[in-house]
Amino acid sequence: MRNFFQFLIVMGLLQILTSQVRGQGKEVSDEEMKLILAAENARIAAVDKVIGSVVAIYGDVRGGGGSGVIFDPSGLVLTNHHVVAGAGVSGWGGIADGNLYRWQLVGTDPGGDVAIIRLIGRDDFPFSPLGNSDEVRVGDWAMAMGNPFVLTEDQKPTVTLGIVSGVERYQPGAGGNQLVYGNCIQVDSSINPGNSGGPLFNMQGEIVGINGRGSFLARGRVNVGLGYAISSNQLKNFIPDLMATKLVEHGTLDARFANRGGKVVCEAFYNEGVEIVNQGLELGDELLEFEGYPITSNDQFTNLISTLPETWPAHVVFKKADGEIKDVNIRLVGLPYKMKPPRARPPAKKGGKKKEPTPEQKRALEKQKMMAKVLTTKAGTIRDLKMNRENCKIVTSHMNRSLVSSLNAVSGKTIVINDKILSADQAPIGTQVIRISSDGRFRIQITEEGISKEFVFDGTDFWKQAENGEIQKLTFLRARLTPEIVQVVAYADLLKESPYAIFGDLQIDGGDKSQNSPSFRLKTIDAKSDWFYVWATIFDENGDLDIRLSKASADLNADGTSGGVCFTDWNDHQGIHFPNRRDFIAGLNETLIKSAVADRVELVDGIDADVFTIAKTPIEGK
Amino acid sequence: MGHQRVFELIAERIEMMFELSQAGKNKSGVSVGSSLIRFRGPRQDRVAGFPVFKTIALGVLVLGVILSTSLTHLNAQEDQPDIGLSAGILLAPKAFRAATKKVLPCLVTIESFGGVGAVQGKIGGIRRQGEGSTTGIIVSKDGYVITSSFNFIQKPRVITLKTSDGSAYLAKPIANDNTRKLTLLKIQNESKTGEAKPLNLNVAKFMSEEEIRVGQWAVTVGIGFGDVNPAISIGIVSAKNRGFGRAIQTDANVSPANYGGPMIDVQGRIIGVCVPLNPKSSSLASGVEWYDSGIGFAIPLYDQSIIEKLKKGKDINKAYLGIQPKPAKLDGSGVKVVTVVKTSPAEKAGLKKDDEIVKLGKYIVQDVNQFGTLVGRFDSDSKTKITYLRGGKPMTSELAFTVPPKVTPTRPNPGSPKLSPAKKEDKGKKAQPKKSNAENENGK
Amino acid sequence: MRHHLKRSIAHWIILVALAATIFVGDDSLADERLNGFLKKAVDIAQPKTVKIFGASVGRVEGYGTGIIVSNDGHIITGNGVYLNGYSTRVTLNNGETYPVKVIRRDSNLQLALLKIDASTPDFFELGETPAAEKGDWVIAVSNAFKVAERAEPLSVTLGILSLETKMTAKRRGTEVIYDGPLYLIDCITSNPGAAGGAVVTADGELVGMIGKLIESKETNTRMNYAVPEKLLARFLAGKPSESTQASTSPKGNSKPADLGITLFSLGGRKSPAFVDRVRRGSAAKKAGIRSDDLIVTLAGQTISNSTDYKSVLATLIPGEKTVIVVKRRNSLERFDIVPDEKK
Repeated sequence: MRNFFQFLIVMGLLQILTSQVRGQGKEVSDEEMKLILAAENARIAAVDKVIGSVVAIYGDVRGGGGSGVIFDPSGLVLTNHHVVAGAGVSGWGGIADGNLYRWQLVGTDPGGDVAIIRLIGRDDFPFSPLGNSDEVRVGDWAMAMGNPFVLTEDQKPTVTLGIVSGVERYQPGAGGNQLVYGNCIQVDSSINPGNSGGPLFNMQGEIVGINGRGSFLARGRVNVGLGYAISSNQLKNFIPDLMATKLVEHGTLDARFANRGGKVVCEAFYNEGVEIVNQGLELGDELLEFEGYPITSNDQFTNLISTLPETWPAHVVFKKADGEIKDVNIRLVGLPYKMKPPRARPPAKKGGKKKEPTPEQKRALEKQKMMAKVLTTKAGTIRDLKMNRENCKIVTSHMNRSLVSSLNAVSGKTIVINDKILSADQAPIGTQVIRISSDGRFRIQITEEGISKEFVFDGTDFWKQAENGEIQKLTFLRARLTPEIVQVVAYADLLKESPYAIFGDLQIDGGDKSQNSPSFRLKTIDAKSDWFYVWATIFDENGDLDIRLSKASADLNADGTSGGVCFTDWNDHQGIHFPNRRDFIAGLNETLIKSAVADRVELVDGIDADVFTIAKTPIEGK
Repeated sequence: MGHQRVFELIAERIEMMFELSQAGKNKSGVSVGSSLIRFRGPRQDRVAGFPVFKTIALGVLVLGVILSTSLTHLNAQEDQPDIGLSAGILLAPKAFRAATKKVLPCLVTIESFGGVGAVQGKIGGIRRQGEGSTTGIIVSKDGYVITSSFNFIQKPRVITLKTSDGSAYLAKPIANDNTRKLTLLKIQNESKTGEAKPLNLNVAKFMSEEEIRVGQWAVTVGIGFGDVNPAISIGIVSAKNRGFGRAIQTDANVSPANYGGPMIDVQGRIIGVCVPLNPKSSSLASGVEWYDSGIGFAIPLYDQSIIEKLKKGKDINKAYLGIQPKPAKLDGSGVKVVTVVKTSPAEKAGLKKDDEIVKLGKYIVQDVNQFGTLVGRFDSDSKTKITYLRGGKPMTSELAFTVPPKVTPTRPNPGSPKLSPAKKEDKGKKAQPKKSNAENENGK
Repeated sequence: MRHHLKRSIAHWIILVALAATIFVGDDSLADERLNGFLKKAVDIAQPKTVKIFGASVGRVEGYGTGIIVSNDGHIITGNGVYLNGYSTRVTLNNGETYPVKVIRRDSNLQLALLKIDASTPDFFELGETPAAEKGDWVIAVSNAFKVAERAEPLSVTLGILSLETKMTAKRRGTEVIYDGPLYLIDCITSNPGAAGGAVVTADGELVGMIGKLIESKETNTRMNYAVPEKLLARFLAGKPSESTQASTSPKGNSKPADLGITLFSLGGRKSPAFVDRVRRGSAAKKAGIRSDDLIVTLAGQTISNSTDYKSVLATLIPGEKTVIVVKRRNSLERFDIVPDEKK
């Protein structure tokens, strides 16, 4: 017995000694080789995970091209503006399954060199998630994938490995406010002509950038170890405007800042009637914070603002000469493009005789004209309403899926919510009971500050019943201006086949921020040109696509009498997701007025028709 | 009971250390020992030999140590991307060195003498092409060596090679694989009577197709920097099936310093032979301009029939079809025949103008560019089937490729501007369809 | 009893030692993300590396990188014309900028020693022991293409040490400005502004300094290399560097050697070293060399042409036996040969 343990001790000591004295005798010990192979296998696994989503982008002629990456199974692809500017409004895209699919241009941002195209032919394209580029550190692994020198023969991309050489880098544009690479990621992964538009992945298989640029020597445009990628967080800011089929401009405060004695101060204004001046900024004021980042240098500020689109509600904090600190939210103004669209060249005349252009030449000419049209579209306007509406359907189906895994899960059921209503400083001021039928009807019973009222949507009309029993049919406009109704209809209407159709035709209005996150802003326009806005945040914390209802209001800035409602604290209740907390807010900075917080949320079988019908004779009114 | 003896030896050693340290101390130094005695409890020191209690405690501890060290390693093996993996990266250089050491015995250093005068014009490379030592890989026990054709651009009159054990031999080129830019050499070890002297050679083994994976480490090894020791460069396998399906692409450095040398994996297995390659150009030295741009190629040799063909003295050449194609549809897809060259393989197969080619061998035809890469996958003596539509009706014919009517010069002409990398760019631009999207001034 | 006591104590020490190994464990095997393995190197090296700005001269860029090598502002960088002007200044990692004084230069290794009037507690201590061997990770920190401005961090790039070798400046032919041992690395450092940058291991230890651009005009290629740390240490200490030419020239008495071989001259220096005539009674004759032999190696050096032959012959010492290998018909022949003194 004693001997056995003594034996064990000796063996144990020997094992420890040999593992401590690593590599003696053998170059690489078996244990070390296992670790080395494990790390290699992890990288190979990361490659396998994402390689299917990389696109080799060509025009109609497939001799030259760039790259892109699919970020949604519907076939939406992120790439560079300069790739589509060369390829045209449509072309071919190859992916690792070996097939070539047609693609169409969706929207483009020449300022930041980003564009979105859409591959056609599948609704289940392999796609990759967008990561958080703020988490990227110098020294992190950086994998680039794309089609340098058009080398692929089977449409599988070239994979190159390097590290992040620098972050928050700035590469100036080509003039005319175009092709600026601000707050970009510098890498030494090999990036060559043809890699443009392709993804930069981290080792978790997330897109952290789109490669598009490099520093080159005079000897030619061949990689020398400096490549630049547009950060994924910038891409997120532009996705909604691009999906709206816009030509997107970048945003500016129309104010110039400079480093002065360790501070960043306002030096000049670029225009008359600059909005931020109306908000109190004066020459000499010190810029303290921008979009939540403390500002330490003008370079840093320039970097940050270059990642934002026009109309973005930027959060600016500045200090006045007397020490007063001002905190404002202000929509950025657009930096106009001085666009020189490619001249559509007619085919050269041969030998003096006017030759009839071949069908191929005619088609090329057509495409050139279409591209010229795209580049001269008024910035910020929807270029293709039909495509916009198709993309809108993708957005609302995502939003719908964030509520229920499938509409069948709630079919024939009623959602019952018991809320308490809190004031802005969290004091209880009332209660609320909401019932929502699976076909989008609802009844709200509110008691607030001692006063009770009820609202009903019976599937056709909106009704209000006062405490004294008085019933009023509300116009749709009035309904949109009633925050209690907005609170419910924004959610309930997502359960329908065509969300928000009751308020008019739905489209993607553009990109915006809601609850401090990049969001889609959807808009309905009715026959009277009255609008209703619904915002949906785009990504969850993991960078996965998670388009989710976030805010609703009849006003773009949630101003006016109605304000807006923010939906938050989403929880799962028996298979449906419901925002347990609805904040009633006002203004661009979403100032809290009151909240409805759910005490209980239940999914009940059956729909009681009486619940969703208003009783008694209606009185026509306001 | 050897272990018991070892144990006692260790115990004695520690005892002696303890005694020595005691010798230098005064009475107060014994306090350490006293506290240990207290810890041990009463009377236990009275038991002869090693007490049972302590033995069990020690044994349990040792078991715990063994288990915990084994488990840490087990964890590292599982596919959890973020755990324990930095260690695997930090340790990788050890594997790079071990892998290089493992492959050295099957490498040879090649020296070339004489030949056509130095080619004018510039070519990428630390030396002018073919000058200085280059690398080769032994592929058979009877002295066949595979290397890059680039090393013999000057058509040297004399080739010697030195194996890893220092033996020097004469060698002569046997045949070229012009599709892979490889040259097979044979060691001339015939004695004066014509008998082959026995050679003591280490034959290289090449990895199979499945073993090569995109994302794995790739180490390129070569002696072309004029040093006796090989230089190594690290990258990953960037893609398979490049260069008309014949090459593995890497972002490790592939340059005249290692053409003909091996690209190996982290365990020392050979992925392929490093060669200069630019699939868009057929000149022998094309691809050299990418020497450190992160685009390099190595030829895998899991298909041993390539070596066997070359051993017979037969060159391997690119397949020639003999048609001028154009897109079949307005959107750029498909392939239609514009002209058929007389007496070409295409004519012999019965192809005519306006035929739409849909299948070549087992490959489906997608467009003109892809069709070019499909034809490139075949050799000049390959036979296959070609399927095409004539007036909408599908037809299939036997197809026998040949060499192109004019043999492409394997040596660039002196004074040709083709060789300058800077000028090559321009040539490249003209040769290819407009790459305006890739060549934008400020983008890629 | 005392003996038993000591024995028990010894056993307890073993016990404790074993226990320690469980709990202290193996730090390098601890859980870590796949990323982060370079954080240490970057955090250590960036503060010790500086940006240098000077005057641009013609097409040569007027900026570079440098490494701090003392706590009182000594900086080593690549020798350059842009350091000549009065406006040369150094920007530290924290953004502070100082004017620069050039202390001295080395033309073999193309180094320059600068001094700024500042306290620099973050510096590389130069030593003689190499920090890395072939195959080890190296991280190059530099301001290639002047990407980093003011206080922005320098660019970091990853490679391995490809080979330890040396570069010999030739008197004719290739114009090579560097003469000495060097480390070839496989990340691209031959970019404008990179010279003078730090090359460190994954632990942040200095391996060398990014060398000044070597571009062969004949082959249009650039070399990526670092000047080894020990040469930097000697430079800092004021010791002169040795040209590699010195080590290959004959030591002691420099009486020229003669073998008695006349080579074929086919016009041009690049013809291979075919033996035309062997003088009677000469060293070559005694060794067994014949006409039409092709000299392949001499004294272990490859003889590609008559120029190689002449330069190796110049290094031979009369009376000292060496080896010559020739190709004769279809085989290689190896002979011992004792060079005569040239008369």
